[in-house]
Amino acid sequence: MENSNQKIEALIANSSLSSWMEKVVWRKANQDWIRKSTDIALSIMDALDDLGWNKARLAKEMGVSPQQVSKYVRGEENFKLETICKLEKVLGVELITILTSDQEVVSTQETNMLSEPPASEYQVKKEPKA
Amino acid sequence: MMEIVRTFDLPNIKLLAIKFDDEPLDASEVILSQWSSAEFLRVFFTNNHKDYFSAYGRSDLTRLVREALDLATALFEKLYEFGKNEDSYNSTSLFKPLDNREYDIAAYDLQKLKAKVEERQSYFRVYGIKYKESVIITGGAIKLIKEMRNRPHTNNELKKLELVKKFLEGDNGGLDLVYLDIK
Repeated sequence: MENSNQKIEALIANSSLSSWMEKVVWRKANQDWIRKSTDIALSIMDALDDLGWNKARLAKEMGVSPQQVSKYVRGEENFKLETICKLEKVLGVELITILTSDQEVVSTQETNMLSEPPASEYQVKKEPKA
Repeated sequence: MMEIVRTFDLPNIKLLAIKFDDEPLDASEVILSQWSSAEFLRVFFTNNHKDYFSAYGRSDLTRLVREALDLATALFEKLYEFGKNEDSYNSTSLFKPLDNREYDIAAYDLQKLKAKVEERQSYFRVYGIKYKESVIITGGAIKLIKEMRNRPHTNNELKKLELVKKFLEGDNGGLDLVYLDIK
């Protein structure tokens, strides 16, 4: 045990610093928009499944690099509205919805995993004006 | 070969990680990168949804990924608090010995697991080796079934644990395998 202790102590003494802590702190500081980015990423992936496209096809249609599309679907991209609008046009889906004062979101029954697109989980209900 | 990396500046060495020479990221970075990625989790649960359904009941894929991201965030915050060394946790209270309860069939109570869904029972596992008051992370896995050896991704974590343990111990023995989940 003494020998292994010495080995571990030597490895620790020569250790470099991981980026783990920095990344955890970053995620915590940015958690609000990261959550929204995740929802957009999931909608993008659902749309790709529906279209039968892969990420390379989306990159081509968007005129961006495959690496950029990987960032989109990771869920840590701070999207510009311009990018969102282009993605919506290319994919043919609505990624974000801004409700007017006479609209509300109604949560419907849980969808059947892998058999229905998750996008159908929510629908916008238009309330009649008083 | 492999080396040890620190997650915090010296002299804080409570939370360490293994970095294999042929990997660009260390073990702590790998699990953070994977469990923070909507794409990784969506692919994982698409491929392993039957295991998830058996343990937790049916769920919608989008909901499942959102839930997983929340659980992973909570787990990383707990690890952060541990690593920060502010006495909120110690290695014994936070990490559990990796014994038969975790990777053998006998005492793993699936019904109990199912009953705990409402208590946000986590399927995330961080694996490591305990050294004095420090924990050296070797990896992590999303564990949905009883026996680690019965799925390639969890079996791979067992192999890594044993490999790192052997590397650190040599012929001496004496290091403990541990895991962390959250409740």
